[in-house]
Amino acid sequence: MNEINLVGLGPKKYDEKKLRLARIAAITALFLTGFLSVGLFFLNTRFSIASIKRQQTDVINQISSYDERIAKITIVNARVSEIRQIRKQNIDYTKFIQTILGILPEGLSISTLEIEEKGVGLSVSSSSLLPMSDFINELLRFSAENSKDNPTVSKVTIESISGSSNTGDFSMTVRIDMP
Amino acid sequence: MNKKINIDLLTLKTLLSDYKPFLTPLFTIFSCLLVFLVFILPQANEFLSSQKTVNEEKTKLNNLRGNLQTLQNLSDGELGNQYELLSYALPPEKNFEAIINSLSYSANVSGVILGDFDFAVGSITDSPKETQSFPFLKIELNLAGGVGAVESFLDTLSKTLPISRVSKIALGPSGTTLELAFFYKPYPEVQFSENSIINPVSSEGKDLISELEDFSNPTESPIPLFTEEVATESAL
Repeated sequence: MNEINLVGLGPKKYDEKKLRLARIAAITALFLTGFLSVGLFFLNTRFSIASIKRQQTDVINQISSYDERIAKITIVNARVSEIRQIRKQNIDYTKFIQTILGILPEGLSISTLEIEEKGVGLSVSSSSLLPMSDFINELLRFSAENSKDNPTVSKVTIESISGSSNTGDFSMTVRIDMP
Repeated sequence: MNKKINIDLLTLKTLLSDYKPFLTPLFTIFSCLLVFLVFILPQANEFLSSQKTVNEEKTKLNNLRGNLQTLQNLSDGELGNQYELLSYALPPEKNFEAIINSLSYSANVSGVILGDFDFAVGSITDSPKETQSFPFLKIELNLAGGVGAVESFLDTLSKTLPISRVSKIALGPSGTTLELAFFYKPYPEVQFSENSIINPVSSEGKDLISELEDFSNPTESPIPLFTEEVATESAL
């Protein structure tokens, strides 16, 4: 039985403008989807954690070939810091001895000199009291120069002064505290 | 107001044939939407949320690259010399030979006569405790010589390796007694991790190394024995 189309080919039922809009929208969507997919793929490959981890592993592998250098540079840096710490705490005793000898007046001689970390015990002897007085004055002048930047002497204590009737010599024991 | 729409197969066929050109664009838009919702959006979310971790890992990577660069720039020869010099200046263990060399050298240079000396050795086998920041060997030393000679001895000793510290000086008519401390320190444990930063020797470190290079090293420079003077005296 043959079908007879009674409607026939009449005018189009849709709007051509809407079709064009739909086509443009489809192409735009397709383009956007493609662009986003490619962009995301690129970002994920370039900046993903896995990619960075891979690069880290590469660098670590390269670094591991310098094992000896790592050990040596670590020790060198540690030693530098340790030696600096030790030297920072060192006291220049020679400078101190030179200073004491420098301010020692004529006629006064050192009998004993004992230098420890924080202080100096000094015994001097002379046939006259005058050089002893000069020496004390010099020490006080030296201690007056004491400052944070230039630590000299923080305290001078005369522990004893004695005289010998046999020899006629005087001897004095002084305690000098260093800052 | 419920209007019933009656769609039968014939109506659908008619609609399909009437709006056939719309099918492809609509199907494309729908597919794109589906791809966007199912793949792109979750991926983008994941990418954005992982950026904090990515930045941390990037910092690690940069540190590693920096470390590699530092290591590549180091010269084996120079580093080896610095390592040996500093290890001699502050030995990893008690080095009696170096200490005796240093004392003999300083005595010879300054012209003082070394008397008895005592080593407060401590335990030879035990390694120093971690808590003891700078272990040292204490030496009590008797010197024969005046103030000037002692001063010269101390000056030479302070510029001789290994490094030492004078903790006590007792000058008397019978001679001089010195209390010295020679330091040593075991090497630190070298552990490299991806978070470690390897620094080249700092400029202060280089200054210190060049200063130590000028120090006398009795193992390298032979001890002066005043052979000429002795020969002249014996000739006389």
